[in-house]
Amino acid sequence: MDYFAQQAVNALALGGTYALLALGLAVVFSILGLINFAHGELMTITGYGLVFSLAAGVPYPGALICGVALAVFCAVAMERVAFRPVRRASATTMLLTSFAVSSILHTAFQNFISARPKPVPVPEWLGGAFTLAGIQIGAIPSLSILVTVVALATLVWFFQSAQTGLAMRAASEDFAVTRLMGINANRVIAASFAISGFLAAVAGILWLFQRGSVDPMMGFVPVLKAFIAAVLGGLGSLQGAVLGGLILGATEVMLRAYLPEALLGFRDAIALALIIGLLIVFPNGLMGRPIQAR
Amino acid sequence: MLTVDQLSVHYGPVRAVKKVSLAVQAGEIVAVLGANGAGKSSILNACLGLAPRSAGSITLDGARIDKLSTEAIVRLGLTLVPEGRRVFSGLTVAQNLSLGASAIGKDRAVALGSLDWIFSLFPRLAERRAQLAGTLSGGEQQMLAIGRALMSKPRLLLLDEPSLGLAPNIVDLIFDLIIGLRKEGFTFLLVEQNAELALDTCDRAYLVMSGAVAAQGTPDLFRQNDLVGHSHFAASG
Amino acid sequence: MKRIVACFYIALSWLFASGLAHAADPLKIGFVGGQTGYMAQCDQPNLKGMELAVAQINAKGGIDGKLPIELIARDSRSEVAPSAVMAQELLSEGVTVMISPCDVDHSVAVAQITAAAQVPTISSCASTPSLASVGGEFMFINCTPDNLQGGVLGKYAAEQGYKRALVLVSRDTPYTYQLPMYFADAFKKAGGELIGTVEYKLGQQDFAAEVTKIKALQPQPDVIMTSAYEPDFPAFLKQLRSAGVTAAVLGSDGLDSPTIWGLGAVADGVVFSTAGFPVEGSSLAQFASDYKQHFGEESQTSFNATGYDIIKIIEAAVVATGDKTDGKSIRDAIDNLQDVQVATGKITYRGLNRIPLRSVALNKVQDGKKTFVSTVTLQPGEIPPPN
Ligand SMILES: Nc1ncnc2c1ncn2[C@@H]1O[C@H](COP(=O)(O)OP(=O)(O)OP(=O)(O)O)[C@@H](O)[C@H]1O
Ligand SMILES: [Mg+2]
Repeated sequence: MDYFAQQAVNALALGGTYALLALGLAVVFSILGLINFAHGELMTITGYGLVFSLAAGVPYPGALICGVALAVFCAVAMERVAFRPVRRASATTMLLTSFAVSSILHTAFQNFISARPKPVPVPEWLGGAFTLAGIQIGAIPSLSILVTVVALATLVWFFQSAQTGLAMRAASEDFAVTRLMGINANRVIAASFAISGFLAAVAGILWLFQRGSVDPMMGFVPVLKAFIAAVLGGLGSLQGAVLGGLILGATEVMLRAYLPEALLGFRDAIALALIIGLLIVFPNGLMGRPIQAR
Repeated sequence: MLTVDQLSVHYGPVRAVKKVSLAVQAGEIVAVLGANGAGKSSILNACLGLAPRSAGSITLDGARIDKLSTEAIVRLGLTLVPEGRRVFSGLTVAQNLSLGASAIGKDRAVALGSLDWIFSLFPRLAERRAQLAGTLSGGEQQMLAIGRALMSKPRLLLLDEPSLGLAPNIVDLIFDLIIGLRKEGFTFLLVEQNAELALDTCDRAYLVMSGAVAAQGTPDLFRQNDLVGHSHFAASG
Repeated sequence: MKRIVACFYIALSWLFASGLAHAADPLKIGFVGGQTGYMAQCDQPNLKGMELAVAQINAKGGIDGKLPIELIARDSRSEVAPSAVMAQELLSEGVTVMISPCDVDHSVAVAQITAAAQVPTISSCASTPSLASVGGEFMFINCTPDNLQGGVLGKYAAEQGYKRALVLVSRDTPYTYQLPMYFADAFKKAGGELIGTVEYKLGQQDFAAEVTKIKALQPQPDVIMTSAYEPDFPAFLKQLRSAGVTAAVLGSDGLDSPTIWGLGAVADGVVFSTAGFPVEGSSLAQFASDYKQHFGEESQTSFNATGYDIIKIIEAAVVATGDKTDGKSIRDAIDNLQDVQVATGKITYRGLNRIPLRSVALNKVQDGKKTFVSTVTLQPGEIPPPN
């Protein structure tokens, strides 16, 4: 029982991080129809922002803010420089553009920063753990869960009540009519990138706390996981992305916790098979709208 | 007020609108009639920068607007209620209306009392303000689409087939409203397949066939010459 | 237009002619490595080490004072297919010796091409012993082979009095899977018990489930051995310690990086094997100071030194052939090398089927620094047989 409770906390912590990442992909996809595979590089950028501002003598909280701000800035810049020129192009063109942005950034990190990992100092207290109702919970998983809950709650408020949030939801339903409301299309798109950059940065910091270093390839695995989560939840559905992330995280942790040793080597295959099974039952993802011509 | 001169619209190789010219004076109700696929929606969409204009010019109060973005045009006081209503179905009635005020800003809309005004025009919307727009009936959605467009108090409203698929009593309600609003100084450009209804309401009408203007004039002229006889409207219901 | 083309041709032929007019033809060494992509963190430092060795040798007029080296590097982008293409390209440029990427599969792809051309090939840092047989007669390993490292670590663990070991493995690469298995072989042979094998995926980050599993073991392991490297190792270690698991942790040469001892208190006490330790007056200390002088920065990883080693091996082999620079002669010469002094220590290939015998240094992380534990040379009988 204790073992299960511990693993459930682990599942929630990992699922929450995936949810933040998947949500970042979904915010942009719902508006532009673009899967931004350079999303993972925004995590990496956060890491470098943190490392370099610490090196420049910025105190830790300030350095965290610098890291997040840099990711948000780069997300918006990415849209302006790379995606706006191809906005009216086909979905494939946009997808390939995002691959290109991603690999240009990889190469730039490797050649202009370092191919080797850069250590990210992590506050000492994050190495600790505390005991709650008989189960021991690490500081990092608790922080992941807490941050995820706060970030999601803020976003729920934003999308329910803030005018820009409403405009973004409207744009995700019907972009042309949103412009008919007199809403600036470029600003809505820039806002969606800013939010996705912010989410990538938050997830990136949680990721960095766990790994203690940043390297050029850091964003590669997480963006794949986020993509799977977003597809599972239903591409373009924000709630779906969160649900997909939680399910993916829980599936991974539970398989790792309970699969017999002989089957552990197949756990990714099993996880993917389960997800494909779900997608056969829900072809548009768990909360996706059927794809229809407008 | 609005002048469309020699407008052409191309969708790839397909030319949907061919050198159409039309004009709307302030305070008028002007109707555009025509069969399915004649190019009516394309004309209205082009006025708002939503359809690809390949030639011709569009001016509002003497100033070219054909190179402006959709949102910039809307902020000049010209807006469109699109064909098929297209309310934001995942948002509530109140949220839809609130977005409608974006062109003038939320504060200004509050100052103008836009929301109360819309609710007085459509009391049904007031009752359903917290309901998701996607769950409204077709008639209610059309009310919401018109109400949403009116939130920014546009001077000129383009309506694309407001009667489409609605019960007669709702159609009457909407056309009464149009006539009422005109008295308050609003101007309308109206696309309709229900020619009788449109001719009863408008001051002048244009007939569009295969993307070009085939006839124009007063409703009386249209009726006398039977310009909207069944031959032109084979597909209309 | 025609005139421009003509000028271009003249310029080109002049370039060629002047190139050929130079004294001795240099010995061309090709390096196909992952300069971008996931392998860049090993192959970029490898390349720098090679460049340093080439610069030093050429400064003295070349190998034996007369044969300069020309190093031609190509980026494999850390992918298999481009590795083969780049190898082909380098062969047509006339390289005599090839250095292949850090990863086994990529090295095999290169070996398939170089073996046919009878060009001796040395992998920059692949350490899977079977590479030497799969890659054929011309394929050599440079870094400490996995079975040797596993053997050293297993023996060390038993000597420390540890009774129960757990290994953390990943089937994603032979290095992260086989090396801990060799460790387990040696540890069991020396009287220890393997109480668990926990698996991870490269780049996994989140080790919460695995750590919870380890934490639930009764009794707890005395020692946990893994050949995980960055970024997996720091993530695992932090989560392991934060869950309160106190078992000793052993690692392999993937950990030889300042970013590991920079981890802070959490890394204290971690012991790992590597090719050498820069003890005062040692060849490795000399290398470190040469490196700093040449590049103006500290060497950050042992891959700098192991890259350097390869060029030194080739130099020794060419010297041994007399004046011959054909592939077959160089291959035979490398295969016969004995106790060649390189940056990390001494290296022997003679009688070992192209798998080098190196001494292995054990290092311990203490107070944010790498400290020296011991240098171990195993007896042939103590090395777990490659599988
Ligand atoms: N986005 C588009 N892409 C390609 N062709 C289009 C597009 N929109 C309209 N068309 C074509 O342009 C022509 C005119 O269409 P339009 O919608 O303007 O007609 P309409 O008069 O509004 O018809 P209806 O009464 O059915 O609404 C049609 O042949 C239509 O198929
Ligand atoms: Mg139409």
